[in-house]
Amino acid sequence: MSGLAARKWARWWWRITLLVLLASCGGGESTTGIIPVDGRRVPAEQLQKSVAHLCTAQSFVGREDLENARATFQNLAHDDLHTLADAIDELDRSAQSQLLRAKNRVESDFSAGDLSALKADFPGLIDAAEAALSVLQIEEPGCPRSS
Amino acid sequence: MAGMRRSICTTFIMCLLLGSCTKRVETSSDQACARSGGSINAQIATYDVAVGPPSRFITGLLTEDNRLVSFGQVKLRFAYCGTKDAPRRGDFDDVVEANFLALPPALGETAPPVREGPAAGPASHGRGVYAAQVSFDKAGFWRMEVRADLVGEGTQMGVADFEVLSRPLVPSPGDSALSTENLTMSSTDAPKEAIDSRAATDEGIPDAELHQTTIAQALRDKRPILVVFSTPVYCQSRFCGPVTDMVAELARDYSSRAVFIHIEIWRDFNARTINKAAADWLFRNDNLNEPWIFLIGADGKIVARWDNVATRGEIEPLLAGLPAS
Repeated sequence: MSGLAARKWARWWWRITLLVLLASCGGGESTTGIIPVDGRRVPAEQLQKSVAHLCTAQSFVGREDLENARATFQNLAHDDLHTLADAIDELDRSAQSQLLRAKNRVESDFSAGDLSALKADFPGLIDAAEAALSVLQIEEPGCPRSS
Repeated sequence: MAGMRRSICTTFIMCLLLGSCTKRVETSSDQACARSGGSINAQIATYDVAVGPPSRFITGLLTEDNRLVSFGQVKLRFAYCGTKDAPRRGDFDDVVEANFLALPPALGETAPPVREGPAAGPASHGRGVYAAQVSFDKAGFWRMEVRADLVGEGTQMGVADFEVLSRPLVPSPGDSALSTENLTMSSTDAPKEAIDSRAATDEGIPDAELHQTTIAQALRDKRPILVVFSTPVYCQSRFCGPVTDMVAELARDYSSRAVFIHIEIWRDFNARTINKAAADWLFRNDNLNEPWIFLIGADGKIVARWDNVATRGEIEPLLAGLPAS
């Protein structure tokens, strides 16, 4: 290899190495689909799932299965609804208020064991949660038609 | 010579680039404040930690897969990590045992059965925090280490950092109660929601017995007061519990021994306007945490306070010890 060719090769080797190194610098956690909430980093998918869990709880309500509806709401949806409400705190106070009110109604219905009130109030909670997702520009999964 | 310079320069730049790409790795150390993570996510649930005598310190625990840790006892240790300007590596103090405090069940619901613990599980198995009496002798940053021997899973560890202030931000035992004029059922200059946020979703203002008088009036009458500052609808803590319902139940059982008052946090949630009485008691450094419960003696001094998670078992003995009027 001539001196000129060697210098050319070295220049190219250096550029390729630089590109590889720079690319590897970005190899950490992807920022796509991550929502900052109160200093935490929450996957958007986790918030989406909270709506899916509400749909499941609603379907139990539809079948008048209060215990499974309560367990699904409490174990799978409740905490992420709080996270969802926190996530939109600075973005849309009205949507946050709607979500927390709708959640409170459903919680009161569970406390009272009132299935007909739950049937009436669950759609409002799902709508409010979906509205909160749309504030965060997260796709709303929607409930399956059968629920 | 030029080739050598280029080679040195290339090596230097490569080192810089490699250095910038290398993720910082926490090394294990005997020094408490240098240790990293652990498999338990510990959340400090106490709002106002200050230098002083032993007081209630509470922490909520979650596993990496987001299950709540409940029941039994866990072991806590604390280390002083210095201040922002003078950090220290610290050593842990002696172990403190912390007991599980179950959140009160919602009105009409029964508490889940007590299980062997500590155990990780879904919220329906039991939601709550671990509490211990802890004192801190220095203001600055502290680290808590928690060790939980989880049923069926073995010992797991977590750490959490928090700030200890030189004095409490919020009125504390021994302080004189603030003589505030909170909203009551007869307040005509405020929306119903400002008296109790549940009025937004209910037909009227619930728990009317908690909205009959002001702290200022009860102090003038020299009556003991149990006051809860909370926003039942807009509570944003993961450990939100039906604290207002619990105080309403206590009011029914102990109305001859104390005056019971609920002060709603928000005058207008959407407009971010806080009720004045709540602001006077709790709004500090542009921030307000809730819920809080204060027991005020007939002499107007604060006897006890409970933040974030409060249970009937902690409050009832103090109410029962008050003379019946």
